[in-house]
Amino acid sequence: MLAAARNEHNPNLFTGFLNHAQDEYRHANIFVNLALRESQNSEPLRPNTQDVKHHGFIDTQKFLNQKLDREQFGVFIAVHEHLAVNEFNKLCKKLDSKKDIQAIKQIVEDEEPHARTILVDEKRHAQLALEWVDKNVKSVRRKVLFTYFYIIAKYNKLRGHAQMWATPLGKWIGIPLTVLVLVLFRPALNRFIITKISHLDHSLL
Amino acid sequence: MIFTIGISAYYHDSSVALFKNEHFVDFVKEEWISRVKGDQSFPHQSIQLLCKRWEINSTNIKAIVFYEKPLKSWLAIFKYCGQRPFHRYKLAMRKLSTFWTGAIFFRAEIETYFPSVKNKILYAEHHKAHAANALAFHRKRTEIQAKIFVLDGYGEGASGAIYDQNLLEIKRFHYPVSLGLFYSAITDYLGFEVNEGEFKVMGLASFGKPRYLSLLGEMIWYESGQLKIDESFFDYPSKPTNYFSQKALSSLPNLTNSKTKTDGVYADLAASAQSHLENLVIQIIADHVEPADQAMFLSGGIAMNVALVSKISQKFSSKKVFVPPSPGDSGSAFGAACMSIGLTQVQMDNSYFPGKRSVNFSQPRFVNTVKKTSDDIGLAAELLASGLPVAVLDDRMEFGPRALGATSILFHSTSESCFSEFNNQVKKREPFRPLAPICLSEIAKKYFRLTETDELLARTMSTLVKPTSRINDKYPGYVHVDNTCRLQIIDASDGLIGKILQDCLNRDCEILINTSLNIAGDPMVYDEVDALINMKRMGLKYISTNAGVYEII
Repeated sequence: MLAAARNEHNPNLFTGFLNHAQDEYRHANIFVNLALRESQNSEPLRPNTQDVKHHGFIDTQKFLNQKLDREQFGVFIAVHEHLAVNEFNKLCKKLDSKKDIQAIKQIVEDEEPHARTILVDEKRHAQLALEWVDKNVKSVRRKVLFTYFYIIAKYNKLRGHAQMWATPLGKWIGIPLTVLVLVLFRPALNRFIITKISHLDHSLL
Repeated sequence: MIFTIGISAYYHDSSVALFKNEHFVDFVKEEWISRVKGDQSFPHQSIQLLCKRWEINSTNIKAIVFYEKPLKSWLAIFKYCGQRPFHRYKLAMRKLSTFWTGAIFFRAEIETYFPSVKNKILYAEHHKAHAANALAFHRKRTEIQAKIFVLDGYGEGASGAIYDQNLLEIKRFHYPVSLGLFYSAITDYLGFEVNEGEFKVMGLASFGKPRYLSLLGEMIWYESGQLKIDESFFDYPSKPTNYFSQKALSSLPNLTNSKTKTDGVYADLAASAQSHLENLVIQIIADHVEPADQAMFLSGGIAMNVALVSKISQKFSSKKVFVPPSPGDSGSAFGAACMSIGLTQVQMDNSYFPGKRSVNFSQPRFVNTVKKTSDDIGLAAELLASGLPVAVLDDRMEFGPRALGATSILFHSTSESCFSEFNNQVKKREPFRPLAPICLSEIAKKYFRLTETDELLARTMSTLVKPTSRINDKYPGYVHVDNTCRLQIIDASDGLIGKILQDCLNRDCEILINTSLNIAGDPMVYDEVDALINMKRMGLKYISTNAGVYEII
C-alpha cells in the first residue's frame, strides 16, 4: 500500500492508500505483539524481517502495484479485503462463543477489541475498493478479474503461505489454473463470486 | 557521461552506490524502497530507481563492481565444511539450497538490467572494499602512515583483515574465528535480531557489570597474535552465519531470572560481551599498530560499535582514530566502486551525498494530508523551543545508517522524564536506548570534553563523549546511564539542520536531541511518502524541509 501511495498522483487515491498502509502497520503490530506474548513461555519467537521475501509475501523485483495494471490492482484489493472481512467476521464470532472458557478468557478479553477494530478497518477497505472498482472497471473485465483473483487467493490459502503473485511462477500456474477452474466449476462459482458492491452481504459493511 | 556502480547484496543491507565520472552522486539502500529492514536480496528496486533517475544504460556504464568475490566466498564455506564433513554437512546443504539465489548468479541478475556488460563487471575483495570505504573519507590519506583495521562477521572466508595505507594486506582473520559473529551470537542469545540488534546490546551494556568475562573468554580469546575460538559454543553448521550452540545455552547464564532487560543477568551479559569485545580489539590493535603510525582507520560492522570506538580513541590517544560514516556492508558498495575508480580520484568532503531527493510536499497529491505552515524554517526553531518535536527532511541525505540531521526528529527538553516518554510513545522502542544530542561545533566544547579525535568522530556520530557538569545542570536527560553522550556536532553552514540549530541558539536551545525519523525497527525514511506515514504512526505534527515548515493534517 505504501508503494502504491508512492506512485499515486491522485490526491484522493493517495490519501486512501496512505490510510490503508497505516491501518496495515497497526494490524501487523497487533499480530506481532500477540505472537511475541504467546511465545514467551515456549521457545522465544524471533521475527525475521527477511522472511517476508523468502516466503514470497513480497516480490523481490517489483511491488504488486507495479506488476498489475491499475484496474487489476483495484480488483485485487477488493477481493482480498472482502476475504479478510469474512475471516475476521468468523474470528469475532468464534471469540464470542469462547468467552466462557476460563483458559482462554484473558486472551479473548485482550484480543477481541483488536479483532473488532481490524474487522472495521477491513470492511472500510473492502467497501472503498469495491466502490472504486464499480466506477472504474468495465463489467466484463471486472468479472474476469474478480474470478481470477478469487481463485488465486483461495489457492494461496490452501498452500498455507506465500502470494502466488509474488513469484515469477505465479502467472504460469495462475492463468491455466483459473481457466481450468472456470471451465469445470463455472455454475458453482457464479453463486458466490462477488463482482459488484451490491453483491456483498450488507450486514458485513 | 560515465557511471560506475558499486553493489553490495545477498547477506544484509543490500545497497547501490553510484559515481558519475569520479563524483559520488547517489546511494540507495534496498531497504529504503522495499521497507524490509536489512533487506538482503539483490537490489532490484534500487537499480530500477537509479536507472530511471540518472538515465543509466549499458552504453554509459564504465564499471559495475560487486563488493566481494562470490566464488571465493562460496568455496571458502565448502573448504570449511570439507574439513569436518560429518559435523558440518548441514551448513553445506544450506549453502547448496540457496545456490540459485546467491551471489554466484550476480552477473545473471545484473545482466537483466544491463545486457552485454559482462566485460565491465568487476569483483572487489570484500575486506579491501571496507578499507577503501574508510580511506575515501579522509582528506590527508596520502600524506600519513596508518593502519586500517577491518573487523566484521564474514566475507570471502575471512572475518577481518589489517591493511596499511596503501591497502597492502598485513594480516587476515579466517572464518570461523570472528569477532562479529561472537557479538551476534550474544545478541541472538539476549533475544535481539542478529544484524539489527547489536547496537541494542551495546546500549544495554551500560546498565550492567562485566561479571561473565571469564566465561566469554572461553568462547573467544586472543593469544600469541592469533584470535581463537571454541567452536563448540557456536552453531555455525546448522545456521551458517552465527548463533549459539546447546553448549552455550547450558554455559551462559539463565536469562529468565531477570525481570527487565536493564537489570540482572541481561545487562551483565551485555556488559561482559561489550567489555570482552573491547579488550580483544584493543589487544589486536596494540599488536599491529606501529609507533610511526599517525592514524588508524576502523571499518567493518564492528566499527559501528561507538562504545568500542570511544575506548580505542581513549587507549590510543596519541593516534588519530577515524571511522567512515557507513563502515558496514552497505558502505562497502561505495568502497568497491572507489577501488574501481581509483582512490586517488575520489574525495569525500562530508557524510552526506548530493543525491536527487528533492523533498516536495507542495505536490497536489499531498493536498488532503499536508499543509504549509510557514515558508520560514525559523518556525521550526520556535516549535522546538516550545517543547514540540519537529521532523526534518533535507534534500540531501546521510550516507550511512545514522540519522545525521537530514532525516531526523529533533526535540528539545530540559526535563529528564520527557525522554522516556519520547522513547515509549514516539519512537516506540526500549526505554534503555540512549538518545543522541546534536549541537553546533562552537557550542560543543562548552558542554562536552572533546579531544581532536572526538571532534572528528562526532561529525558522524561515531563515538561517545564525556559531558561536562554544565550539561548535567541544564540537560540531565541527554546523558546516558554510563555518563556518556553519543554526540553529533555540525557547522551552522551544514544544510538545513545547521540553519535550524543556529535559529535555536537565539531561543536558548543550544543542544537538541536528534533521532532517526522512523519507528524503532523500521528502515530509514527515504522520501516524503515514507516521512508522512512514519509521522502519522508516531503522532508527529510538524516537518521542516528546505521549502518551509509543513503541518500534517
